[in-house]
Amino acid sequence: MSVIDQLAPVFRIVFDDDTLQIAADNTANDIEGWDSLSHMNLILAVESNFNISFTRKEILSFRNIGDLAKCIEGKL
Amino acid sequence: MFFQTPLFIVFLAVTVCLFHISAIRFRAIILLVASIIFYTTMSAPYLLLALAWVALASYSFGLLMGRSESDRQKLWYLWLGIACNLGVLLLLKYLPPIARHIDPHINKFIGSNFLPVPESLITIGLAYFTVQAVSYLVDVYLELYAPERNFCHFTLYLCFFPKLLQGPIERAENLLPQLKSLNNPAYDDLRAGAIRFTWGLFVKVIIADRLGLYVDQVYGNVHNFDGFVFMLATYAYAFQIYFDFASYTDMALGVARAFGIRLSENFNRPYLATSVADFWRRWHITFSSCLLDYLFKPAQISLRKFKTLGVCAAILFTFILSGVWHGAKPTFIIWGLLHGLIMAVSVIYKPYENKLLKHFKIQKNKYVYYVQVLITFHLICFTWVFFRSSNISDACYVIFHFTSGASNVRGYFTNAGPYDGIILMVGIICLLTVNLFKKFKADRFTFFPSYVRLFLYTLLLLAILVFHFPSNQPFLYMGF
Repeated sequence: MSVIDQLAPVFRIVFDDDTLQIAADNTANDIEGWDSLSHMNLILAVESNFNISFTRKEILSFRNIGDLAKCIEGKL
Repeated sequence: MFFQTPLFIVFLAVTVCLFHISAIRFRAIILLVASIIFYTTMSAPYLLLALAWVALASYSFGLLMGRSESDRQKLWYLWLGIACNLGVLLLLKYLPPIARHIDPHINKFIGSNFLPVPESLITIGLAYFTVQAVSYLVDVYLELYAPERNFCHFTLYLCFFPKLLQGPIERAENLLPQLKSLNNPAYDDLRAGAIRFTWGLFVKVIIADRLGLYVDQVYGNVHNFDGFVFMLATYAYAFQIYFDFASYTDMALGVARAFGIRLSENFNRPYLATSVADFWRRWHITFSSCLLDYLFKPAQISLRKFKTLGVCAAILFTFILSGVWHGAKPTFIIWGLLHGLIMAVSVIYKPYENKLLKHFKIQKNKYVYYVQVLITFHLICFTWVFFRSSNISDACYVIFHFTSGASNVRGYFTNAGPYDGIILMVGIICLLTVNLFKKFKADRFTFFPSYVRLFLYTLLLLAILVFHFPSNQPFLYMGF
């Protein structure tokens, strides 16, 4: 299962949408309710789910879900 | 040489002609020289030194970060670069008012003036290009943008004259690539740029400047007024500051378009916001996105272990600094603090509000929308009281006397003058008509035949020439 497939359930819980589908090129503009506040909830949920920790620089440099997935892959 | 002066029109015409007749490889230099000449007309030679300092420091530290292998070293360069930029901003913008406060206290001991305190220093544009330089450095550090190697392009990125005095604050990834490929602008760029500039000029000299008549007489002497007049003056200010700043943005984007450059939009109907957070996604967008990316997000990340409290603290931190950026006056800091407090509180109650609306299935109900817009507008107006007032005492007087009565309403309208009042009303009707038209016809006036459009443009120019506000009012946001 790819990292993006593993991320999908996390997104569905954070954004409270069981039908949510994600793709590598998705950004905050593509997902309803994804603002700077829910972004941090997402980061915390991802860290908890994958048992990893992001640095500040990594979090600030994420441009889309693909960047997030690539960073997670590097830590696994 | 401000946008609304005849001298600027001449300057612009000459620069556009030189730009269009010159070879592509010389265009960046032409724009840079024009920008420096433009900045020189602000009659503050130290600002050119400040610009040179910021450009050199940011360019150098950007290159150093690009060459550095170690992340720790890159971080050092980043902080040094930020310190160089903020240092000059603090020195020129905040030192004079701070020195004026502490100097009398030092005088008591020394018995003479200790600090050569200037009355005031012109700092037009400084706050904007320093923030832009900081955004460039952070983007280089985060490897979101490669360091710029061409000093001419980099300096032009900072001081490009359409956006030099009042923004928009441009990200490197948007503006630098455009400045590196200054091809021949299309006819459509020239036409669209001219229309946008002229429309901005109309809103500024017909509407925004006249609204000042309904604001300045009250906020200049609050003890002469009360109640209903305070409300009217505050509403008037809400629209004065919006039209003033938005018109500048229109003019800046119009001028840039004449060179084939697309600057960023700065406004998106801010008074239709459904929350204060939404307001900041629509008001001074380039500045608020800098606040979000370079202040709020790093603070939020650092405090993420504290969850909601951490978010609230990050919001307060961001907006207090936002107030400070606008100026060293306590009223600006309170304005920023109020915005921070309102948003911090909404972080706590918003999830419950959303659940309630979802429960009753009225999230997209139009009456809920209207109520949200109305409440948000009035919260914003409440904060504008502090933003506009000369001092905290005046702001508190206005706040505590909002419901104190309705005396002197006639005097309020009479002071503004019937002639200006009528022109203002007609101007607002034109504005509303154009906005309604834009809502239904996205390609604007090209819907009309060319002779109708020519007639309308001529009418617009004549209106500006005949009915412009007699005295040359500076743009409000140039003071920050």
